[in-house]
Amino acid sequence: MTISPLFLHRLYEAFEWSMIFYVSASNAVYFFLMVLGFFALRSHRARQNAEARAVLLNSPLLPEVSIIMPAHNEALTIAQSVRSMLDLHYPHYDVIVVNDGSKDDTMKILIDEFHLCKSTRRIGNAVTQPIRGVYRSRDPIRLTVVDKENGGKADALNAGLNVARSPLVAAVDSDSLLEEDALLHVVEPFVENPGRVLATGGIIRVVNGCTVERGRVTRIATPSRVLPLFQTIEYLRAFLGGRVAFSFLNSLLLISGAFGVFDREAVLEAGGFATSTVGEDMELVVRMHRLSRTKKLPYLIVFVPEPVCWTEVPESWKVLHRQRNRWQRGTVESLMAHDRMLFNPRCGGPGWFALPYFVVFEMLGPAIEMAGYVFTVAGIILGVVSMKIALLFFIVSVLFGVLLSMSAVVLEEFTMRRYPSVFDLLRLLAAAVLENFGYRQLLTFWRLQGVFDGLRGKRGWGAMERRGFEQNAQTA
Amino acid sequence: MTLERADRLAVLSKTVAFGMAYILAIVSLHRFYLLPRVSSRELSLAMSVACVQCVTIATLLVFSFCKKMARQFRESRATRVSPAIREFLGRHAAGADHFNDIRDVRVAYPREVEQCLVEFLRMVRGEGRARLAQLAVDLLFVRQWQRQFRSRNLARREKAVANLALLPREFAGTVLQQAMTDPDESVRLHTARHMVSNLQPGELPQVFHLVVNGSLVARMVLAEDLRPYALELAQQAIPAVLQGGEPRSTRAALDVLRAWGKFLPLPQIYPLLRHPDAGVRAAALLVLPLVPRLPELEPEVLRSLNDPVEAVRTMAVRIAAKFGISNALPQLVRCLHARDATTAAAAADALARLGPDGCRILEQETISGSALAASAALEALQRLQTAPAETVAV
Repeated sequence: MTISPLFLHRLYEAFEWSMIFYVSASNAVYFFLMVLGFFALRSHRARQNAEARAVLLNSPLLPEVSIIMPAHNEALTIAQSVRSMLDLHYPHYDVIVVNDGSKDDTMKILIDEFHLCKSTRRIGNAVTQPIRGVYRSRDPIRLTVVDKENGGKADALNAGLNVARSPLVAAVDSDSLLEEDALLHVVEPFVENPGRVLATGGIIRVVNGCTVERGRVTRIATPSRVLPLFQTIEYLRAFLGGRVAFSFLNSLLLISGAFGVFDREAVLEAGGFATSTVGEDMELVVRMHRLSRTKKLPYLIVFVPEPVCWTEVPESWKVLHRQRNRWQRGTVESLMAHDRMLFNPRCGGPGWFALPYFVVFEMLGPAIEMAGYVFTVAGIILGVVSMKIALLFFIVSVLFGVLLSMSAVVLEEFTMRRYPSVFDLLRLLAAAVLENFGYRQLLTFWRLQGVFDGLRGKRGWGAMERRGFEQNAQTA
Repeated sequence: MTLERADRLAVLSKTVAFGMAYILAIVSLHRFYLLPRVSSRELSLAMSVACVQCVTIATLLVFSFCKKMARQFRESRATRVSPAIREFLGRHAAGADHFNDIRDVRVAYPREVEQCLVEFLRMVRGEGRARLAQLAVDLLFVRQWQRQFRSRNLARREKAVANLALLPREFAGTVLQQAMTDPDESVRLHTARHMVSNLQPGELPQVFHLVVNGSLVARMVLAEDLRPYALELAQQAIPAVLQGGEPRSTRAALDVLRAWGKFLPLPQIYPLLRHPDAGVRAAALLVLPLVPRLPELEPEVLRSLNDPVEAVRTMAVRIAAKFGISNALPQLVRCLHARDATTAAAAADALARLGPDGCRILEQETISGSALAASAALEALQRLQTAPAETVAV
């Protein structure tokens, strides 16, 4: 049997059309989420009452919070991060740093800086890697340090859960800085809906380029380097568009590991953070959704747009590659672990909207988008794709991408307005255009690698190279 | 974000409306303009989407810039004209008649006059405030605020209520009463807060009613605002709620007492230690140190140490330590062996606070068979060693 060239040509074209349809659909969904996020954000901001919030800060009725900071080889930033955590505007909280078998001076710096001494503090029942010791400060500060064998971030968080006694626990990356009132903002949903909120997450912003003094961001600016600038756009798009909308639909599947607050009892009931995945943050949230849905319990998992957690993003391609690969593996692992939720009638919004969205656009997306690029270029070279189709693919994949990124910047300017200078706004708009030419395609390729690694069951976290907050501010 | 149902519906309908308008714009551009000019139907459609999106982005950016510029312009204008307005208002409040001057300024700068007048109403008391309130009526601001209260915009409604609450109640009309029954709790809370700042006779119980029947946020915020009126409320309003025995409002009233942290003459707390609702029993135990010590305190705390509910027992353990009830030693030892880690830790702390007898028990417990009790005992002893001042206080 011979296959006619015409048939092959038609097949190729049909494939190209399906690519175009897929990319258009994904852009349409992103756009819908962004519009929903825009209106939800405006409605949320209309309800903000700064005066009432100031009064809340004095109330002894606010729930206690334990901040858990896992730290692995964070000697460069740990002292500043802990100091910034100890200086938050919140009446009742303590800080638990978990040194996860660091090989650098993290533990020594903690002992020297905060005058730590060994403590006999009781440790809970969750199984973790062996604990070498629990320390507390001789100074009048509410700081506990757990020194343990290396077991990964999830294991460190579980160790922190074992030591925590407050009803709420905040998981914060030790390479992040919180704004002074971030904790109050993120605890508010727990107060507004007592007993219903299982977890809340805050917005993460890029600290590269900002001025940091004594653990506080004192001047907000966009990074001058291209790589962090592109990531700033990505963060804006993800947080202001996607997460606000998913939270509105009570289908938020991801509370960023950099800053999230959880009901301690709910986390323990769900079995703590899973050590078998690198996406422990997403996996836990999906598990909480599943448990609450199957038990038919009323619950909320909320994204709060105000609280700002500043994080240092990678400035080298190598580290960014490692980070994105890990994120993608985490997504794949979490989705595969909870595939039974997909279109499960009992799983409501998460099962019928959020999970399919993640599978179709986040997990399979990189493969389909990559195939689109490869086949279009190959088709042009071989002369089997008409210019019309090539142009159409360019418009839907690149031009629509540019417009979506620009919409995210406009959303930021219209709602949050954290970047005060017009120059910053223009720089963000320029980055929103440029990131679609090369950077996005590279990320798609890395994400595709991440999908394969995730499916193959590749483990490992990969080291992040830290430069220190103030160092970053000076050079970025 | 946890929005009220109405807000959620509004957000959804706005999204749908925007989406439909957007699609309509795309289809119109595609059919009536681009399709006749572009050879391919699909290309025309894609270009329409891109064009509409570009226009939307540009519009939003221009709107945002215009808003920013307008705000800056308003601020600079207010800085320029406000001193003169304040001068007139100050003299008018002091007794001089500047009505005509202020009315003339109002014509050109209504927003600035309103802003300054509200500022003055917040600051001035007595006769001066009455004159300014009359001025607000004469300049038709009151009517404007009453109209604004009917707005669907929450911020505008809250602002209207805030301004009207500054006036004698006969000027505000029935707006404040309506606002206190507004379906939106945010408006009710806002109204109550502003009523407290200019409290009129008879309004205190109404505000307290919102405290005990509102959400936890309302309770937390209003508890702080009502702090100066604690003694007044402890005479009638709080005892009435406590004696009513309704679990939700009783717990709310007890929360308010805890938030105040003030010593108040409320013997009505004691009967609540036997309330059928465990939450009420626990909350009542928590505020026991804030009410007069009666002879039944010790037996009631000892009884609570045997309460069937763990949370109540834990609270009783803390209170036994706070009052130094040495007769509670056997019960505290039993609580130290509880399965719940919080109760065990609280019991260990309590024993450590009860002096040499308690410490001796803890020392024995460190070598007991129960790992939880032993670690709790060890921790409490270590804390005692490093913080001796705490034990002296007890």
